[in-house]
Order: sequence, then structure tokens, then C-alpha cells
Amino acid sequence: MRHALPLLLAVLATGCAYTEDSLLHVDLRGKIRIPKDVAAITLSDAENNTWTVEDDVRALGPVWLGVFSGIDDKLFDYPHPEVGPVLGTDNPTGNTYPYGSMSVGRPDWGCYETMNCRLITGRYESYDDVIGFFRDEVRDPILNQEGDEITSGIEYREHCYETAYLTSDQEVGFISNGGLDKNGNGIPYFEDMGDYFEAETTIYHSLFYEGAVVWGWMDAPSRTFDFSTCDAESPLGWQVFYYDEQYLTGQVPIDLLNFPSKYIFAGDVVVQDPPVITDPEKDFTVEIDFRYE
Amino acid sequence: MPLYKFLTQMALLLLLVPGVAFASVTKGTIKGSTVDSDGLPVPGVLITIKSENMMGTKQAQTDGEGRFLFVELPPGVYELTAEAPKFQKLVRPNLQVNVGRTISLPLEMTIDEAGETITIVDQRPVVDTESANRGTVLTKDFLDRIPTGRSYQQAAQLAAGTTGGANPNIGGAASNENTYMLDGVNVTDPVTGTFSLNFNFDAIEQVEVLTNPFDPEYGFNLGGSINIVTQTGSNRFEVVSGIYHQNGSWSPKQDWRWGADGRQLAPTDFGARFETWQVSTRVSGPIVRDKAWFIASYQMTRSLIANAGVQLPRDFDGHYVLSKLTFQPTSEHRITAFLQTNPTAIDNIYAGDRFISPEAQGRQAQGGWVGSLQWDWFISPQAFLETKATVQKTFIETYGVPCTHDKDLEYNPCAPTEQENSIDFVTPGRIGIGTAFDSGNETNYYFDDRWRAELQSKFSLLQVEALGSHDIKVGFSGDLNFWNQTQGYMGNLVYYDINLLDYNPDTLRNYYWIETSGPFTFASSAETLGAFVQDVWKPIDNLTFRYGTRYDRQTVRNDLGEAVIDTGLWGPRFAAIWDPFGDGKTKVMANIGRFNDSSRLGVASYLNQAGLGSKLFLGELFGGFTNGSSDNYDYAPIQNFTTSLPGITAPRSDSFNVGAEREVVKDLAARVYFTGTFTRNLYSFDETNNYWDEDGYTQMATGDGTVNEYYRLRTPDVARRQYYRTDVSLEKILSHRWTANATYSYTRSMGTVQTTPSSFLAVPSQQRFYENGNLPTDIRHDVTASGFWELPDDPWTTNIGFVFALESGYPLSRGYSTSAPNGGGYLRQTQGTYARAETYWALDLQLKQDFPVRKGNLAARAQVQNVFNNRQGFGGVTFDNRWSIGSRQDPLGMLLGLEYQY
Repeated sequence: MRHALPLLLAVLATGCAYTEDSLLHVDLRGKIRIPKDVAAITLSDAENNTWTVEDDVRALGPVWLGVFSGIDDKLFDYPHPEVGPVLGTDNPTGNTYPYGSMSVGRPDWGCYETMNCRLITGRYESYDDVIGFFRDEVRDPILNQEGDEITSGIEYREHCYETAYLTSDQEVGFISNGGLDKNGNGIPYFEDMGDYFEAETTIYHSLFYEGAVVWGWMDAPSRTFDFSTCDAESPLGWQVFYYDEQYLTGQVPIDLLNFPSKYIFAGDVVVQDPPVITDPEKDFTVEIDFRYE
Repeated sequence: MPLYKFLTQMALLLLLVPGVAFASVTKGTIKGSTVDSDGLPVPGVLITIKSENMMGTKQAQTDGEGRFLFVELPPGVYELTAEAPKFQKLVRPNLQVNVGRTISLPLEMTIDEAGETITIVDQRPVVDTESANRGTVLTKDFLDRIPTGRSYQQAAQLAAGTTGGANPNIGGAASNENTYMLDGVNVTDPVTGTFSLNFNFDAIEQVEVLTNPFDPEYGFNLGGSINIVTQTGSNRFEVVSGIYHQNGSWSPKQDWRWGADGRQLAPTDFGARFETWQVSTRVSGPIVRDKAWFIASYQMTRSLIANAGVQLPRDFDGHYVLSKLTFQPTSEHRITAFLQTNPTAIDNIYAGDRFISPEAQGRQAQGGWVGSLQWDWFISPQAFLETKATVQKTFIETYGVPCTHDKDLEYNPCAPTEQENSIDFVTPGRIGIGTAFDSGNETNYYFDDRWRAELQSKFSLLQVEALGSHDIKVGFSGDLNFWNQTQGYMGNLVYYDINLLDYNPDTLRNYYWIETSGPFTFASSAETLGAFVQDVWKPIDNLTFRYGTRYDRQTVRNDLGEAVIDTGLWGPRFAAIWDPFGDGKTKVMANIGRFNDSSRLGVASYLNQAGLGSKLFLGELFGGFTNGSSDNYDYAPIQNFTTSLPGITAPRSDSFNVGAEREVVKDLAARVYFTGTFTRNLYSFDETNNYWDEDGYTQMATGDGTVNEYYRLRTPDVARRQYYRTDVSLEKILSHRWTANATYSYTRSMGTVQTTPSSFLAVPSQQRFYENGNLPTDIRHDVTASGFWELPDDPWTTNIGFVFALESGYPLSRGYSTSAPNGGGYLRQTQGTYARAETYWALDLQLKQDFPVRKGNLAARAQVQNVFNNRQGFGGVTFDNRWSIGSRQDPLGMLLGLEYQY
């Protein structure tokens, strides 16, 4: 017994702990705020009639966030990440070399070719919500292949299921299935906080350097409600083969954060005062509040 | 034994014993106690055991408590005799001693009134009330009478918690996380973590399949342990020969070839060719009775296999030789030496592709040898020392040959001036694109040698008295592994051809070709030093504690000699086993242990820096571009973008079992067990250059502005698995001419990383957790049953054996195409189970008919596998999210054999 007990204790003591490997990579958690005044959008139709959509989360474009070494206010007419040396002639402003990335909402294929690059995830409750928004707010009803207006969410769903071989609404990225929580992580998308919309986010697996900043922008929709950060003809996107329909579903360029200035246009809303990350355990709050005109 | 004596012996041992012991248990134990009719212990009873598999007899006298103990017994059937003055002589025949198991016998001695001998033949222990290991032991006799396909890998599938193929998943671990042992020698492939040798089926004495947790002496791995113990011979001279044939043309065919949407659902079997011949001979017997035994075994396997549409079959030609010598000069010393070799040549290795031209000769040579020398020293009835030295070499070589040595196949034979088995290093290979034939010679050559040198020793000290009884073992081991590899292209060139017209070799056009920088070589290595200590403590007769720990230090080096993995691992284990009624018929057991993964050289291969430089040249079809154009892609040597995170933690799992078993009726045990295994820090590569959006759907940026992917070997905490299994089983041991067992297992497993990478098992895409998220939860129902019935038809004997297996399908998530310059990624959050592989079930039968003949026995054997010819499909979800069958369950197959035993 005298030799058994110490041995047993040693056995138990060594059996308790797990250790994680040491990493420079961290998950940065924080909140995004978009004031409602910069979130309002102006749309127009073929006759150049214009109208404004305000106070509607569905009008928010995709938000692209990155972690960068710092901000340089002198590069452009809006705050922009510092850039590295210019290499080659394709991108004369230089590369930002981000440390990590995240989006809040991303362009998703809307099951019809005409809906490519027009739907952002985390913005719609249901198929009927999509139909209603495009009919009433965008004033550009969704049409099927024959040019007939889609009026029923059931019809919309059936078309999605047929063309993408879906089996449940869980596989549809642009609707939320009763809760705006497309991440499935319990964190809702944008909430209406009165003067601004707010969303929680996590920048996964980002390199951590003390003093880095979180910067990004919201790609505001154009007047015809599509988004410049989505290339509807990109061959990187999924290809649809459905009866006589054959087209690309659109895709985001792969260098959005390497060369942001290629994709920021008048009307987009940029982070003006990016939070500095000094403690990766501490949540950040980033406000997207500078409208680039 | 007094404690001071134990400590003195232990200290001496630590000083004297050289490095050692990754030792496996290859022997069994018989122990027990003698009591009189009043239940009082009877000391001084002479216990004698004998067996055909053990040299001589062993004797012991019961101690003051009436106890006796025999350890390190070769597995086999034993007879025990108990004799004492004034008591009747007691005989217990037919005791099956199994590897790693203990037979506990309560013997009741009866007052002798007429000089009688009592022989008790119908009492056999069903429950091992001292073992905490989970697993199955398959004896030679059992394997002989059930349909196993003459494969130990197939037989291993009979253990509960074992699924998969020749390299099974055991206890929820990956197929390359098991340990394979041959007579206590670790023969696991040091590169891939899979089995390293094919083996003579007829030389097997027992196969033990262990699912963790188990005692520290069994070493370190995250999966199970498949422990093969070979025969040793006996005092009887014995010759056993057999010939076996299997032919796919005997099988009926049924197939589904096309789905409603035109998608091909499964490869067709029509026109496929499958023929196998096996010839085996085993000779064993005494050199000196009870002093020296030998066994020599040879097995030849020849298989001709060709897919539909392929004229020339793949030709597998394997020769497996085992020789073993056991020498016991005195009852205190036993020396065992064995050598096993399995040279194999596989010709026409590309027979699976009908667009390989007949002239394209590819050959694979593989095999190797393992030699081991073991010394067992029975120092005293309470002390035992085992020391073992092993060297193993395995190799795989693939290359092109100008002609084939298999003249009987009548294709591409060697001309008189051509040397058989020569390698053509000069003629470049030609690869057909699309419908063009691959023509000319094999494109590349590959030479791969793997060495293992191991020294191990363990010391056992038994029946140490200290608040009960202790059986203590300590051991040490040293293990060196080397992996040498050379790769290159024939003539340092490879051509890619295209047909201008389909299926017409005459219209071949040169499309492009690649010039390489020449062959490259690398040598990587691993060193492991380990030690363990364990104790079996019985504070009272019906309660057993097993506890101990092991420590292993591993260093794995890449081709630059850099220590890319360097870990020190503790593996503590604890178990409690209780026989609540003290009658040897019931066991309540709980155990817990930590298990560590020491890695394998295949993981280090990702971090080797040697590579092949290549330069692309475009052919005539590319018009404007010319040979040597500046537009050509040129880099040499290849850049290795994979690195290792310094100071990584070794993968580990904590596993526990709780359960109970009882002999519910005579010879029938019922068992219920629950297993939980929590695995963390699995080997995994994270990609550090590509940045993604919230769903991992779209790549948004790269860290360095290039489209290169930078992988880094890690063992992150998020790379994990959780595994829960409940087993309910019944086992009827052999009595009344039949035996059977059946187990139902309900398993839930979940996690982020499915498999562990090695050089030949592709890096699983699922491990990119930051892009893919959790794997779907896998819920499975498995039923395994086997048994045989010996029909009484004297003088002949007929055996009918069966194996039944049912596995419910595994879950599959849908794949969602994403943007990535170097290939598609996956959605970070998978959407759960989209489809489930079809349920698989099969019934195999064997009929074995013995015909006693003069001076021996003749036996005919017929095995029918998958009697109902099920063809359930295995497949996956395609890139466009459609279910597609990739393969189907093996069809009904028959194996016929004829054996003669002298």
C-alpha cells in the first residue's frame, strides 16, 4: 500500500490536463454598429424615379471586415489600411496584407439568374420577405424564367430546391428560417438599437499583433440594388445547370481586403475610427459611419 | 514476497536491464484457490498443468491461503490436476488459456474415501474476473471453423467497436491509429500507422483485438491493438497443407449502373476478372522433446484481378514464410527466435484503367522481413523477466519494366536479350489525356525502405504481499525508425498525349511535357524511448485494481534532421474490477486511461524539404508557345509551404469503460458495456494565408498577397473527436459441440477531425475546422455475430460456421462549392446529415468436412461470403450535391479448399 498510493496519486495527477499549442492566431470577438442615417439608401427605376429606403435592415449591404496593421488617412478620400510596397503594375496602391477577415452578411445566390449578387445573407426572414422587399421597397419584382412575377414563397422555395437539389431551408443561405442567426452560433445578425443597427461578430483565426486595427466597410447597394463587391459573372462561383438555364451564380473577388480601394465606391460606408486591438480577449466595437461620397 | 525484497529486486532491475519494453502480452494466466468442503483454504496442494502447446509440465503448491498461480503460459488448451494427501485427486481438463486473459479457478477439494479421482469436464470459466481489457480473442480452433476469408484483418472485424476494412477503425479512432503486434513485436508500419505485413493465416495461434483502454504495457496509440500470436509447435510432428481457390466467375451478378439522371451509380462488375489461388504448408514438431520445438510455414498467394474492359489482369504474387524456434534448455529459461518474410511482386499494377496500353508495364515490389529474438527468464515462481530484440525492414518499390517475367500470362514477354526484372530508367512515360491511351513505359519510379529496430524488456514481480496481493510489472523500450525514399521520372521526362480522334492511338498528338530536375531522395527518422510501471492489486479476493502509467518520449525528424515533432507523453491507466458474489461468474468493471499518439513518419513527410523541380513545355497544339518560352512555368526545386508549429502537443484521448457481465446460464455470458472516448489535439494542418468570410464560403483576401496556401502542422485543441459506444453481447462458449457470440453496438461519434494524416492517407479536408466546422454526428448500429456447430457424424466430422455483420450507414454532409484559387473549400458550418450511406449487411457461411484417413486427416472446405449477394452501395455527395455511388459491397463469393493434416 505504501508504494501503491503515491503511484495512484501520480497517475491521477498526470491524467487531468489538456494543453493547447501556443499560437499567434486568435478569435477576435466584437460588435459592429451602423448608424441608421448612413444606412439609408436611395434607389431608382428605369424612368429615373428615385426613392429612399430607410430604417430597414434588408437594405444593408455586406460588411467586409479585416484586421490590419494600421490606418493611413492620406491614401484616399476615406480612411484606408496602410499598404505595403507596390509590386507590379496591376495594383499601384500596394497591398494591405491583412491579418484576418470576416464578413457580416455575404452575397448569396437567389436561385434565379436575375437575383445574382442581389441577396445578402442574414437580412431576410423568409421567401415571402424577399419577395415583398423586392416588390415593395426595391420596386423590382422577382421574375421567373418566363418573365412572370414570383408572388408565392412556396413557388420560390420549390424553384430553389429544384435548381440546387436542396432538401431543406437550412441549406438556403439568404433566408433565416425563423431567426436571423445564419452563423448558427446564437449570435443574431443586425439588431435595431434605435439610432443604429448592431451585430455581433467573430473574426476567426486572425493573426494577433498588439496595436492592430479592425477596419472594414459596408458595400452599399447601387440604385438598382446590386452590389459592387459581387461579380455576377465570376467563374469562381457555382455554375447552374438546370434544363436550359446555364449561368454562373456570382462570387466575391478574392482580394477584397488586399486591395479595398478597387471595390469601394461612392455611397459605400467606411470605418472612420477603427478600434485598436491590444488585448485579444477584450471585445471590440467598430462603427461603420463614414459615407464615401 | 516481502516488500523489502521486492524493492531490492526492483532497484537491481533498474540498474541491470537494458532499454526496453513496448512489450505485448502474448501469454495467458491460470490462477485459483483450493478450499475444502467447509470453504477453508487448503494449503500444500500440488497443482500440475500441462498442454500440447507448453514444453513439459508446470507444478506449484498452494500457499497458506490455498492459492496458486501460473503465468506466461503459451495460449492453448490446458489440463490442471490438483493432488493432496487425504483429498481426492481433482482433474480439470479443457481449460482454454487465451492471450492476455486470466482463468481463475476455485477448486473444491473433497475428502478421499476410496482413492477416487474426480474429473470435472463441464465447468469452464466464462467470465474473466481480473481483466479490465476490452476486446476479443480469436483462437486457432475458432478461426478454423468460421468463414474469415483466410485473413487476420477480416477476422479482426469480429470485435465489437471495430468497423472498416483491412485497416479498421477501432474504438472510434482512425484507421492509422492502431498498433499491430506479431508475437509481442510491434509491426505497425512506422510511416502509415497501418499494418505492415501480410501473414501466413495457418500459422496463427490466436488473434487478440483490443479496444482501449488497456494496461500500460500495451503501449501508446489512440485506437486498438491487433495482437497476433503465432503457433510454436509441440511434441507432435505435424504437417498441414492446403490449397484454396476463389473465382469471381462463380458469383452471380446484380448491379445498378445508371441513375435516373444519367449519373453512373457504380462501377459494373460484368466482365471483371478475379481469381485467387492460395497454397500453404505448415510443418511443426519437436527437435528435442520438451526442449526445442520448431515451426515453419509457407503460404503462396496468387491473384489475377482485372476490371471490366481490361484485357490484362493485375498479377499479385505473394510468398509468406514464417520460421520459429523455441528452445527451453531448463525450466527457468526459454528462448524464442522467429523470422517472417513476405516478398511480393505485383505486375501490371494499372490494370484498373482501360486506357493504359498493354505495353505500359508497371510493377510494384513490396514486402520485407521481421526477425526477433526473445529471452524469457523465470527467475522464481514470483519473478519473471522478458527481453526482446527486433529488427524489421519493409519496402515498397514501383517502377516500369521493359517486359514481364510472368510468361504464363502471354503478354509482353521478355525477349531473349532482355533481362527479367530489370528497370527501365531511361524511356519516358506517356500519359494519355481524356480518351488517349497511356502508352510506353511507366512514368515514374519510387523506392521506399522502412526500418525499425526495437529493444524491449519487462520484469514481473508476482504475489507481493502488502495490504493484499500485488502483481507488478515494469518495462522499458527503445525504438528507432528510419524511412528512406527515392522518387523520380523515367528519363526525367513525362509526356502528356491527347487523341485528336477518340479511342484511336494512331492519332496521338503530343500535348505538353514536363522535364524534371531529376530524382530526389530523403531520409527521415523517429526515436522513441518508453517506460511503464503497472500493478494488479487485490486487496481482497473478489476485488482487483489495475493501475499504472507509461511515459514515452518521441522525436520525429524530417529530411533535414529537424525535430518536427518532439513530445513527451504520460499515459496513466486505472481500473477496478469487482466480483460481487465471489463466485467467478460476475464482473462489474470500470476503467479509465489516457492514450497518446506518438505520430508516424508519414506526418513528418509533409515537412520534408526535398522535392522535385519541374518545367513545363507546351506542344504543337498550343501554337504560339514554344519550347523554352518565357511563359513556361519553371520552379526547381519545389517549394514546401508546409511548416510545423514549434512545441506542438501530442494527440491524446481519455477513455473510460463501465460495464458488467455475468454467466447467466451455464456456459453463457451476458455483457453490457459503455465506452466513452474524448480525443483532443489531433494532428491537423491549418492554412494560414487564405482569409474567408463568415461562412467560409468566399475567400476575401490572402495574407501575403499571393494565392499560395501555407499549411502548418498543428495539434489544436479544436481538432477533436468524441465517441460513445454501448455494447450488449451474449457469448456461449464451446460446449455441446457449438459456440456462438453476438454483439449489438450503438455508437455516437462527433468531432472536427475524422482521420489522422499520413503520407498515404490524404489530408482530410474536414480538418480545416476554421473553414468547415463540425463533422456531422455519426450514429451507427452494428451487429456482429459468429459461431460454429460441430455435427456429430462419426467417424467424420462436419463443421458449419457463420459470420454475420450489419453496419448502418455513415452520415454525409453536403459539399458547398466555395471560391478558392487552388481548389474549392467548404462551408465552415456544415449543415448536418444530408445523406447516409446505405446499411451494409452480410452473412458468410462455411462448411468444413473432415475425413479421417490413414495417418492423418483430410478436410474439404467451402466458404460462401455474402450469401444473399447484397450489393449495398458506398458513395458520397458530389460537388453539385447529388448522391453518387462509388463502389458496392463485395458480391457473393466462394472459396474452396482442400487440406491434409499429418
